[in-house]
Amino acid sequence: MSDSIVKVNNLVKRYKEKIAVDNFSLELKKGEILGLLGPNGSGKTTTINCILSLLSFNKGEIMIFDKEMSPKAYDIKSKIGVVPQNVAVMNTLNVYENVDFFCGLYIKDKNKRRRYVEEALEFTGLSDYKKYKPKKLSGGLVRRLNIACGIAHKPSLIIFDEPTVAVDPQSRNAILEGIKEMNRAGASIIYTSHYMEEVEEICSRIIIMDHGKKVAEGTANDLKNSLKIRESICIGMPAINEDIIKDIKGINHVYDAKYSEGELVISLDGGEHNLVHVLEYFNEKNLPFGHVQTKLPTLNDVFLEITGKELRD
Amino acid sequence: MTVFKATLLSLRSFLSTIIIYFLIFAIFTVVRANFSTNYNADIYKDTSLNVAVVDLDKSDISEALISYLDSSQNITKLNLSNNELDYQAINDNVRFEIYDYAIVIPEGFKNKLLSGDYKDSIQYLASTNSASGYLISQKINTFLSDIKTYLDCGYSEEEAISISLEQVKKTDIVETKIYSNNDYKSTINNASISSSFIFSAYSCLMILTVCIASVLGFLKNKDSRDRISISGTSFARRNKELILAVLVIGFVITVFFFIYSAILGRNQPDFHMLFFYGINEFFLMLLGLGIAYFICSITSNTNLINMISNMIVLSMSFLCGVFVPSEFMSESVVKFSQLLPVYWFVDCCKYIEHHSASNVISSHFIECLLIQLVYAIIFFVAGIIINKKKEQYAY
Amino acid sequence: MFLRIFSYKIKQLIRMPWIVGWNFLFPLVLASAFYLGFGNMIKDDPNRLDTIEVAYVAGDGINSNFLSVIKELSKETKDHGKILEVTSFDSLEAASDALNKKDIEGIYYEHDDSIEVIVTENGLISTSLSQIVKSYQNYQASFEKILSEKPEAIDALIASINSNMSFLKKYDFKSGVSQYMQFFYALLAMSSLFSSWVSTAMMTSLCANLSECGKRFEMAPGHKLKAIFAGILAGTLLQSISNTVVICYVEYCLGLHWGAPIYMVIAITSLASALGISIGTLIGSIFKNEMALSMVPLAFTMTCSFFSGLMMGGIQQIIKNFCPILNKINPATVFTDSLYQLACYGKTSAYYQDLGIMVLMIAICLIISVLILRRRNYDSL
Repeated sequence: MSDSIVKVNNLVKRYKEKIAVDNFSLELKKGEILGLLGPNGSGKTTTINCILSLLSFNKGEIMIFDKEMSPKAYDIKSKIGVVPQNVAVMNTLNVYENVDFFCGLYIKDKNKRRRYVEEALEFTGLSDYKKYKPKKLSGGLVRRLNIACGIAHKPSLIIFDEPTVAVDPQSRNAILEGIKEMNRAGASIIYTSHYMEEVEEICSRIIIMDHGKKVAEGTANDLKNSLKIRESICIGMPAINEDIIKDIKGINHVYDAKYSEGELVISLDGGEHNLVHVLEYFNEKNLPFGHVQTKLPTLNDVFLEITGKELRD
Repeated sequence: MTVFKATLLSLRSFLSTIIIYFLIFAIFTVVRANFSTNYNADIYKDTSLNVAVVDLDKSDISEALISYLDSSQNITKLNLSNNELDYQAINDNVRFEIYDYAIVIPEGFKNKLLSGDYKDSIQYLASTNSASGYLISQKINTFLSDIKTYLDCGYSEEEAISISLEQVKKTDIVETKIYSNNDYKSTINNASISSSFIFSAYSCLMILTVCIASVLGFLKNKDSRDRISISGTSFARRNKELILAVLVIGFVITVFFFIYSAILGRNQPDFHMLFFYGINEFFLMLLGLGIAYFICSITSNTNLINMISNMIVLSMSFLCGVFVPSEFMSESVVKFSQLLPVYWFVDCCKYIEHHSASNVISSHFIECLLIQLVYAIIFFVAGIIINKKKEQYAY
Repeated sequence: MFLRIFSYKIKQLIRMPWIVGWNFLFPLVLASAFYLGFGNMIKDDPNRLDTIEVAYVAGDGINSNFLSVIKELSKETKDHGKILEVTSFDSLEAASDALNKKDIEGIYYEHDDSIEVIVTENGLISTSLSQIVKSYQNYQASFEKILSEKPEAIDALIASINSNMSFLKKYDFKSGVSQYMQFFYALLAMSSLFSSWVSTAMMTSLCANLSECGKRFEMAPGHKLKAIFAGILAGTLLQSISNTVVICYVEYCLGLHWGAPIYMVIAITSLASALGISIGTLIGSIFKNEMALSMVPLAFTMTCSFFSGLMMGGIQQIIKNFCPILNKINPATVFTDSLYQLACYGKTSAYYQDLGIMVLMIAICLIISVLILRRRNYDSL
C-alpha cells in the first residue's frame, strides 16, 4: 500500500454552464495535514463534497486509501471523519445522544462505542454538557459538538471544512491543538479555512484554489518564498524628497520604495542584513527617523497576491 | 414608514403558505357552495327535498304517488329492475345526503293495497337523524291513506286517485310564520347569501390568524426586533406603523373573502343585504387579528402557529355552526358555543338572513358585533399579558 | 443499526413539539369538538321526538275540532309518546309573549277557518307542528267529502280512519352506526395523513440534499434505505399509537361506538398511518425546499380530508356519483370508505378493495421513493 491517503486527479465539476472545479488534482499523504485555501466560491467545499461522493462529478478520478471512492464504498467511508462547514447536529437530541448517534453509524460494538463517545466528549471538552440540547450551548460549544460528532469513531482520514468559523480565540486554540493531537495519533487531515495563521500553524502542506483551479501548492515557506517581496522595512520619518527615494531604490535588493503619511516603506526581494544597509545610508545622509520595523511576508500576503484583492461573493 | 413597509414585505416570506391556504379554501368554498344548497339552513324546512324513487310496481297508484311527490319534491326516478336494485348504493346516497329520502315501491304494490295486505309494503331509506325523512313518510302515508279510504268508501280507482291528488294539494298548505322581536317574516324565502358568509368564517379566520401571527412572529425574531429597536424610529411610531400594517393586511384579506363570498352568493335573493354582512365580516376580522396576536404571543414557530390556529379556529367552527348548523347540536352545546366568538358571527349572519334591510339594525345585531369586538380585545389583552410575562421571565 | 436508528428516530420525533401537537393533540381536540357538535345526535335515539310545548289560540273564540285533535296528541299512547303539550291562550299577544320568553315553542293560531303555525325559527319543531295541521286538514277534507257524497259509507270511513294505516317500512341495514361517525372517520383519515409530516421531518435528517445532518448521515458507511425504512417504521408506530389514543378516547371516554370491533379500527387506521408515512416519504424525496416540506403535507392532508368529508359530510358521495375514480385515488376517502363499509355493511368486496388500494398506494409511494432515493450522490447540494 502506498502512503497516499487521498488522490484526486483532474477533477471537473460543472453546475450547468458554470465550472466549479476545473481539472483539480490533490494528493494527501499519510500523516499529513493538508491545508486547502481559497476565497469564497473557489470550489473548496465542492471538491470536498466530491471527495466524499456526496456530489457527482463530470470528470476525474478520486482514490481514497488506494481504492476508488463511490457512494457505496462503505469500507472507505468507515475510515473517514468529516467536520462540515455548517453545524450538522440534531437539535432534538442532547450532546451525548448526538455523538452516540453519529458514532453508531460507524461503530457497531456497544461497549467500544460507549468508550469512543466518552473519549470524543472529553477530547472536545464537552463532558460537562452531555445532557444539554444543542440549542442550549454557546456557539463555541456547538462547534465543538460538531467536531465530536465527526471524529468520535477515530477515523484515519479527517476532513475539516472551516471548523473554526465564529469561534472565540480560546476555543479556536483548543480546536487547533486537538487537530494536531489527532494528527500525532495517526490521522491524516484535510483542512480548509480562511484563517491563514491557522493554516500556517498546523498544515504541513498547503494548496491554494481559485476559480476551481489549483493556483499554488507547497509548504508555507515554499509559498512565501515564491513571493517577489521577501521583506519590507517601514521607517517613520518626516517628509523626504524624490532624490532620497531614488537613492534608496539603488540599494542592493531594494526593488521599490514609497513614502506616504510619515512612513517610508522599502520592499526588498531577498538578500541579507538589508536593514543594516538601509540604516547605514540614513546615517550617511544624516536623515532623522523614528520607529523602524521590518516585516517578513505572511501567508496572507501570499494569498492576496495569488488570488487578488478584489472582493468575492 | 419603514416598519410599515417591512411588515408588509415580510408577508412575502409566507406567500407560498398564503397561496396554498387561499387555493384550498377557494376550492372548498366553491365545492361547498355548489353541492350543499340543502345542507345548511334548509334541512328542516318544509321545502323541496331530494327524493329517489324506485318504482317496481309501475301501476296507476304508484305513478300517482310519484306524481304527488313530484309536485312538491325533487324526484329522481331510478329506472331499476328487481335484479339491479342495490340497497347499499341507495343507502350510501341517502347517508351522504345526495338524496334526503328514497323509496322502493315493490312489484304488486297495487294489488296489495287493494287486497288490504299493504302494511309496511313500501320500503324507504332515510338518514337516521333526518327530520326530512319523517316529513316525507308522513306525506306518503297521508296520501296513500286517502286513496285507501276513498277506495274503501266505494270510489273507483281513478276517482280515488284524482280526489286524493286534489285534496293533498289543498291541505298541504299551512301558513307558517317566524316570530321574532315582535316582527313576523314569512319563511318562504329559503335561499340566502348568508351560508357562503358563514362558511367563509373558517377560511377567513384561518388565513388571518396564520398570516398575521406569522408576520408578527417574524418581527418578534430577536435579531429583527433588535435591529428595528436600535433604529431611529420611536417606540410609539414603530408600534403605530406595525398596527397600521397589520390592519392593512387584515383588511385586504377580509375584503378578498367578502368579495369572494359576495360573488358566490350573487344570485341569492338577499344579495342587497351585503352591506350588513360586510359589517359583520369586518368584526370577524378584528377577532381574527386578536386571535393572531394571542397565538404569536405563545410562539413564533410557523409550524406551531399553523397548529394552534387550526386547533382554535377549526374547533370553534365546528362548535359554532360554521360547518354543521347549530340546530343539530344539543342545547347545552349551543349554550357552551355561545361563549365562543364565532357563534356570534354565525348568529349575526342568520339574524341578517331573517330580517329586512329596514329593521336589521337592532340591539341584537349590535350585540353580536360588540361580543366579537370584546373577544378580539380579550385575545389581544391576553396576548399582551403573555408577552409581558415572557419578558419578565426572559431576563 | 436498524434498531438504533429506529429508536433514535422515535426519540427525535417525540421531541418535536409540533409533531406531538399536530399528531397527538390536534385529533383529540377535534374529536372533542366533533363530540360536542354531534355527539348527542349519534347517541340519541334518532326517531325520538321531544314533546313540543305549543300554545293554542282560537282567533274566533270558538274551540274547533283541531283543539281536540291536538289534545289527543298530548296524551301518551302505546303507539307514541306525548307529542304535544298544549296550553290554550286567550289572545295572540299573550301567546306571542310566551313565545318570546321561550315558555312555549310554537303557536297554533286558528282563525277564519285556517290554522296558522307561528314559531321562532325554522326547524324540526316548525315542520312537526305544520305536519300535524296538514294531517288534520287532510282528514277533515276526506271526512267532509265522503260524508257529503257517500254518507252510506260512514262505517267504512270510520274504520278506515281508525285503522291507522302504515304503508312504509324502513329498510334497515342494522348497522346502528350514525352517519355522523363519518366525521370521526374523516378525522382519523386526517390524523393519519398528517403523519406525512412526520416522515418529511424524518427524511430531512437523512438526506444530504435536505440538511446538514443528512450530509453527515450520507457520508457514513450505513445503508441509507435501511435507515429510511427504520424511520418509516418509527413514524408509523408513533402515528399508530397516536391514532389508537384517539380511537380509544372516542370509544371509551366519549362513549361513541365506531361501528366495528375496536381492534379492527385500530388495525385499519395503522394501515392508514403507514400510508400517510409513505406519502410523506414520497414528498420528502421529491421536494427540496424547506417550506415545501412542511406546507405540501399540510395542504395535501387538508385537501384530501376535505374531499373525504371532514368539513362537509357527504362530499365523497357526490364525488362517487360524478367521478368515482377520484375517491379511489384520494387516500383519505379510501380509508374512510373502508371503515364505513366495515361499520355499515361488514366485510364487503368494497371493503377489501379499499384495503387493497391502501396497500397498493403504500407500495407505489415506497417504490417511487426508493427509486429517487437510491441515488446516493447529487448533482448539487
